[in-house]
Amino acid sequence: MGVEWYQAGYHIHPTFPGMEHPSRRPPAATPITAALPVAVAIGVFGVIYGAAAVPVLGGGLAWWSSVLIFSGAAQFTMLGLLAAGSPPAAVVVATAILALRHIPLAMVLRPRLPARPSRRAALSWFLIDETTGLALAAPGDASRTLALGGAMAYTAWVGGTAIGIAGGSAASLEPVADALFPVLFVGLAGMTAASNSTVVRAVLAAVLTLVLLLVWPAIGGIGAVGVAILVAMAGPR
Amino acid sequence: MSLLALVGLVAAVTLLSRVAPMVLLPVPDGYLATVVARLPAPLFAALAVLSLLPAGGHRPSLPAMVAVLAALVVAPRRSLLITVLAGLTGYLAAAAVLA
Repeated sequence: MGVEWYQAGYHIHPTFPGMEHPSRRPPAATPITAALPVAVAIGVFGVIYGAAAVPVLGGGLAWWSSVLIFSGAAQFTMLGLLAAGSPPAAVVVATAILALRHIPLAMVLRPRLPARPSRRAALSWFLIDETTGLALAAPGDASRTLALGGAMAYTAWVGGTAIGIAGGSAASLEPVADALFPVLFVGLAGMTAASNSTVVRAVLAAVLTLVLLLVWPAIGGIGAVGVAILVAMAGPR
Repeated sequence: MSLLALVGLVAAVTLLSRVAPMVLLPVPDGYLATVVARLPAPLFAALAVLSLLPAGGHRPSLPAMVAVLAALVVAPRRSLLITVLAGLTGYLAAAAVLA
């Protein structure tokens, strides 16, 4: 499998082929402490989603959509397209394209997950960007971190949606929400950058994604994931 | 198609997109394992940029950019909580200065 554990000064850190010269890092937080900011951010977006979804879906279906889908990207896209009068087929195609990002997330987690397919199938419900980052950066059992962080994120998403449906103030949250996810992803990039070479790759991916999105905004998340894969492929085999 | 059926269909697509790669993908080997091991940090850095830029190619707000800069300063500490707190502090400070 190529996973090797060793004591790196302050902190037990996982290495994979291609992770060169891990640097010394401060101790990692417990899974609950690490997952808390993720859950809070997701809860805030849940409130915004709930408030925005009521006029389009109605309160009951808005809540059930969060219970059944658990994907902010898919749900906000669905809302936007429905509000713009798009046909259902366009909504399904758009959300299917967005869902392709689960493939690289599953790929990076796969070496650290249990061998039993049924266990991985159960964990797949919690496969979102943020919990993947937490699981990759966690010094312990990745599946436990994925389940714990995922359960907290899911509870926050469904609970936040309920608050938004019940009349939570989304307008006051929206400006802060604009900054929350970029900051979360910066934190996750920092947590998963285990060596100087991965830091360089992260910076390169950020710069190239910025240029790509400025030139071609419509490419969105697929472009960002594509840039990350290309940057990961660059360099010695 | 009713809204209920549409939500059900989107839920099914999303669920399938999670379960299928988690169950069917083998453990990466050889060059693919190397690429996969290098992927997380660039992936999250790219997603940070994606989430910072508002839809439609607009520029992000100044407080949001300050929040990201503050987060970058503390990101090497590898604590998500500290990174988020620093980002929010940066955001609130910039918003207060601009107000």
